[in-house]
Amino acid sequence: MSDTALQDGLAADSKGAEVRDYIRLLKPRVMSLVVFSGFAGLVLAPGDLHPVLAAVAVLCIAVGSGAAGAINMWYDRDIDAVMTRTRGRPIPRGRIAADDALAFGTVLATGSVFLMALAVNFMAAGILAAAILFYVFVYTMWLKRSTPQNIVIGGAAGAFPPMIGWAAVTGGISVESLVLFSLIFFWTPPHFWALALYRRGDYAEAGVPMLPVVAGVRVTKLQMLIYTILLLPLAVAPYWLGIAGPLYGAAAAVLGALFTLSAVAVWFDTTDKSAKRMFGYSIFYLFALFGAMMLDAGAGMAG
Amino acid sequence: MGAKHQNELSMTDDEIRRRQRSRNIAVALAVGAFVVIVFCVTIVRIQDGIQASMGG
Repeated sequence: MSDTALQDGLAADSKGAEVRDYIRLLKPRVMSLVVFSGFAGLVLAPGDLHPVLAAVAVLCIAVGSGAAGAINMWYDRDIDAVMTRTRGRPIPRGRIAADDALAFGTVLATGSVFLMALAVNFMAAGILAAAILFYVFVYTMWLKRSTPQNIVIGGAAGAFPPMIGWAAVTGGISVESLVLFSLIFFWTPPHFWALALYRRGDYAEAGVPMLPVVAGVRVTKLQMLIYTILLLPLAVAPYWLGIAGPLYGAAAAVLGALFTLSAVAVWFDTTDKSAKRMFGYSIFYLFALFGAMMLDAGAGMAG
Repeated sequence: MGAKHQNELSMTDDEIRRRQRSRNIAVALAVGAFVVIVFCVTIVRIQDGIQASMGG
């Protein structure tokens, strides 16, 4: 190890790596949301998929998501070392060599896509590949460091999982699966900007042009409010389309109203308190939304 | 941060070997699981294929 490598916290090899360091590379918390929404796509899609193949589809979504996270941590190791939130990640901490993280991510990404293609179908594998490539090349390498719209457009990567689950069952894309996609797509900006609001010092220091850093707190809060309002009718759409029943429709309306209210609270709050609370609520919101959809699945199509 | 890296560097050989061993076990488990998965998928897809060729 050279002196500069020590200062950067970058290891020359991964001899000191523990298994849990590799698990951390897979961003388990992001993965949980990805798996849940992907599973929802599987449950909500019309038709049958053998339980073994459904389990393999979920596994491929999980591993593909983790692989994208590992490649992201390889590329972002310089800014991760600067930001308090990410300083403890395996690469900046000197636990895993950067090259090893890249190899780990690439092998898992390729493996998950090929397994999906062979075990499930080409459409699901194709969307999975698109999601990984979008996250790595469009979001991580291109948009993240160049525009405050980074997480708006980049958010598409995280919105693919329910479409993948849906395609695993039906072999195709439909209006319904596109609605599930757009739900997560419009949810991502207020979710991420809530975090960016109370971590804006971090992002500014790392030179990442997050909206609160570039356009200011006021503009960000307004944009968050607009997105939560756009989500109100969109979240109820699965009920109108017959993906889920009236129980879901009511749940979506209440959850959405609370999400909008939390954005209003953020608007009036001069501290970071409401933003932290909104970030937490946004995660609950998405879990609850897809949870309610699965519980009330198909009720609208009954008979 | 400096102290932590000193720590990482001064890891004993025993500690390095212990970590390597647990990494090896994890890889073995992952490879084993992958073999089981491919086997199960093969069986399921062959069954589906037989049913389809018999007309349902």
